Amino acid sequence: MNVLILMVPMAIGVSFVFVVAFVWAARNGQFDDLETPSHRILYDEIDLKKGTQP
Amino acid sequence: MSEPPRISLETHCRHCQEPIPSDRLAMHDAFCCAGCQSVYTLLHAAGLGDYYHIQASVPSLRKPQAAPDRAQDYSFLDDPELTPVQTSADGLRCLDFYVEGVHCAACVWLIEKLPDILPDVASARLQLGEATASVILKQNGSFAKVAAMLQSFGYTPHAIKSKAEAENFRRKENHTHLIRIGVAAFSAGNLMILSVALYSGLTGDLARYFHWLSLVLVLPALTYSAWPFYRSAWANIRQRHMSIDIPIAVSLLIGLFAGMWHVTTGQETYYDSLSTLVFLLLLSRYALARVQQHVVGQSAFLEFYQNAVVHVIEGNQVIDRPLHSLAQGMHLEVRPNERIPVDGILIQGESAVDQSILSGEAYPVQIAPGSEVWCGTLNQNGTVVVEARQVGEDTRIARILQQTRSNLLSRTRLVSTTDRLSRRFVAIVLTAAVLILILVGQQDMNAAFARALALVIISCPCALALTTPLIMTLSLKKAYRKGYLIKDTSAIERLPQLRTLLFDKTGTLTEGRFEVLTATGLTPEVAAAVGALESYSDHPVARTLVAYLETQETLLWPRVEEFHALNTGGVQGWIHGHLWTVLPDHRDAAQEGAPVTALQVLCQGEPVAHFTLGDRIRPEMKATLAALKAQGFTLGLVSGDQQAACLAVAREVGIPDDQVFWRHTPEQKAARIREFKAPAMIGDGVNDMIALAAADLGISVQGGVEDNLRAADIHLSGGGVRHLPGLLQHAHITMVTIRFSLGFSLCYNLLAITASGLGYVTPLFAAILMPISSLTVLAIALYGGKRL
Repeated sequence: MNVLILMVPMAIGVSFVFVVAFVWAARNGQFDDLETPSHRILYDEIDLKKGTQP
Repeated sequence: MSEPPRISLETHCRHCQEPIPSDRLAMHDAFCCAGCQSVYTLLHAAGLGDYYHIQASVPSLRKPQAAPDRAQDYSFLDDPELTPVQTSADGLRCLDFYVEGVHCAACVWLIEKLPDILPDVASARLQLGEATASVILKQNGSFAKVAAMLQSFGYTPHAIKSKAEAENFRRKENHTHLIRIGVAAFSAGNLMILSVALYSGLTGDLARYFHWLSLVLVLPALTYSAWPFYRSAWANIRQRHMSIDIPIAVSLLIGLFAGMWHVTTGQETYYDSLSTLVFLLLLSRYALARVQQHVVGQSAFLEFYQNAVVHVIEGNQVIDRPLHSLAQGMHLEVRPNERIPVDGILIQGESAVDQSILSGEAYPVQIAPGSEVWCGTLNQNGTVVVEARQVGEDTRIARILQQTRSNLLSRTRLVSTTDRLSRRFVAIVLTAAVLILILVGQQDMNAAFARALALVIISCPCALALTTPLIMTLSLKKAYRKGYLIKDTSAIERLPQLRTLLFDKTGTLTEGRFEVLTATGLTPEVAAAVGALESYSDHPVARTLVAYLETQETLLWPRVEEFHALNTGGVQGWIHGHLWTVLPDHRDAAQEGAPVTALQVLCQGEPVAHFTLGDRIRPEMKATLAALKAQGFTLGLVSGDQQAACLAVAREVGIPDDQVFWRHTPEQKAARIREFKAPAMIGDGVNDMIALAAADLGISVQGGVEDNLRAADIHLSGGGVRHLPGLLQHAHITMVTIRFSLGFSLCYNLLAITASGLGYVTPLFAAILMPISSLTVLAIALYGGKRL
């Protein structure tokens, strides 16, 4: 079981990487607008020139 | 792709989906007004007919706004002095708009298609939640064109200072809050894994190692993440104001330091429970803050430049100047459809002014040289010259805004239900802890301390602090979808306490527009003749009539010969060899001063048609007010309008005569409201602002959201007063759900106090019980939210 002494810090280290990634994403405003992109993706493709859905 | 318009019995407008007025419905019109029809035609002509398909395929938040009545002049947007715009890295100009009326995926699509419609636009991005669009122009592009295009789509664009400081600050705060949540989640998650090992009986060196690791892991959660609780608790203590944050901060700190002592002595800690608690609390508060910003954000940061140009007369020249350059004694030219920018005296010209912003009267007032005019009122038909007497902050309207602000500040702050409960709760917990120390301490001081510690930590008002934000979040979100914009949660708490509902007349119970109410004998021939005659006149009645007739089927006016205006106020002229006369109808003497103007049409001296014009009462008002009366509310009407007009409307909708108050200035309205018990004011516009702020609760129903939420607590969009019973019901359910879950959490806490007093609470017990209570509260909140 002594391997835990090594494994636990490694696990914490991995989760720390995720925290850093999260902090980066939050600072970059990835969570600022959670609403519009979900709508935008649906109708991105409709081409105005043809006036129809491809 | 666009379907041919169906000839069927459509009862709702094809553009805005509002019910079509009966007179238009009778003519098989598929639109509620000419504005909506032109938006519909425009969208199809631009190949944007897909808007309606997209809109139909997504559950929309709110319906599209009805199209505006008149186009606004946006040329000031292209003047760099009046509208400072930002310049992007590659030298392109960009400007942010707050776009009133965006509501669904179709709007996102439509607005982001701007570059395809206007070649000058480099890009357009919409943030649906905040209703802001960032528009970037190519060289030589015009923001005025963009704004005009947005307006012709049926939205109301307001230019806002891009990246305003307040907005930036708010965004940073949101980021920090999110990071705090993330850090707390990191701590809580890792601590749980370690705790599982400890609870299942880990001993020896490895246990000691895990204990020390727990201490390291809990530190970020209990220091960085929990910082807002400490800060707010400290602020509240200094202001001697009780809030839920104080017991939270105390529990967290006691837990942290007791835990440290336990770590050094090899005992168990409550760290997993504490960090989970911090995580959950932060999360629920973040959700609530986001929903509130949704609503408040629309009102708080708007600094737009409406009507920012004034025409100053200097010598023989008329020079356009920015609004802030005005001074007393200046002579200003005010053109039709512009707002008068100062308080002053008319020195040249004649016109009619719509003073409804100050008086609430729908009927335009005639002004001639010597008349007093007020800042903010709308000049209607003539170009006039005004001498400025008061400008800027000294104008009547500015003083009203000032008074509104001070009224709002002086309103006693409502202590929220949670804070009131937590005050008693803290007293109970502290008494219980002291009792345990005394009673158990006589036998075993160590056990007594452990039990008291368990009590303080486990009874930390977890459920209490989670409940209200969660339910309020759901409630505000649902309210937003239904079209009720609620400024803050205290408004929901105040709603069920109301006893009196006072209504404004113009624009609230009525449409607030002068329009044709009835038309009899209207054949196409008559319509054409009357339209042709009246189009020669500038009088507001004539303009209303022409606007109405233009929406009828006849669009070509015949030629009028020998037109002349009669002394009696009528008009006369020859059309196709017949003498046509339009006369005011004074037969009904009892109607004098009443809100209705009658007109008679004569052909060769024979009466052929009859019109009545007035301010129409909104649909369903009678039923709505009857429903409110049945719920036990005292109803009243407070208006700036004349006695006869007020009484007529009050009788029509069922407000008793002794609760009708007429000819009240904005200041008098506020004084009148204070005479009532637990009053709410339902009104609109600037003339009601002081009253809205003076009442226990202000509800606005018409006009721009951002203007109204400055004074009102709630804005009802769309249906206006019709939403009122729904709003009251909504608040009622919200409060019942909150009370129920608070009751539950109190019971739970009493149980916990008993258990810890008897020594049953171990860290393991706490680790199981705390999430269970949180989950239960969550379930109650979700169930309550479903019923909303």
